[in-house]
Amino acid sequence: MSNGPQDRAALFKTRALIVAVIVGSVAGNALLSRGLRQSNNELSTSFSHYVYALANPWVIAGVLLLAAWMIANLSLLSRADLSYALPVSGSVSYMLIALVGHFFLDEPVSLWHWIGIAIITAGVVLVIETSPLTVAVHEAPEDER
Amino acid sequence: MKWALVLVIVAANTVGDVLNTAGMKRHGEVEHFHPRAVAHMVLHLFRNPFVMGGIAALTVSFAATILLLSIANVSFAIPATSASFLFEVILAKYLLKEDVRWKRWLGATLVAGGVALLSV
Repeated sequence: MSNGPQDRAALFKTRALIVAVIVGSVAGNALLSRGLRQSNNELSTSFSHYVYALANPWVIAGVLLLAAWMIANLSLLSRADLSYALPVSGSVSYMLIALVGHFFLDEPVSLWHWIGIAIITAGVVLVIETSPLTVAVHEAPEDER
Repeated sequence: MKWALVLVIVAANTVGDVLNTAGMKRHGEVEHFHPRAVAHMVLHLFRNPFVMGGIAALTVSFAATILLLSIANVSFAIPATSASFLFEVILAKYLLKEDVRWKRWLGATLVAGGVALLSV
């Protein structure tokens, strides 16, 4: 792999998309969790219960963020391997969700959680050292330029 | 009930991500992110059966996640689905023909193990 300015610009876009995917998934999940917590904590057999839960503004904001997350994630998967993107974007989200749960939703973070976070970080460092794309991809359709 | 939902989430997540990756590799490398380009991309993707199938699978996983979140903590719900990391790397190598070498195997294994620890 060469390190010309175009390669670096492409790598920058891939990394920016990873950050967007992480932020979208963490913020979306935190909003959803908060909204669902406000409505009820039990499994209900009543359909109207779920309609009420989904009409909550926190839930609506969360769903909108997850739609943006979907577009960022699809763009990322068009330019990087799944086996590169998923361990990085997916796991950093998990860590941040644990931390957001700890700091904003008062969910406890145990010693095991901290050890888990350290192990995930080691795994992410390993994956991020590999080349992001190992399969052939052609250019996107013309009207997307 | 909790673990049945976890099973649905893991299966749907894996199928969804693999279909989305296959669909986006066929779509082509997304380079531009101004609103018009993104709008055109979304229109193209409506006619991409892989991506539509992938989004359908992720929607199933999303609905199951909402159900799970309503009966369990975030710190149980999210990490319990960590098995999908390894399944997806296996499918990425053998189905999507990605070049997965020891660094990615070890990295993905550490990630799955670490995420599983988050549910302890």
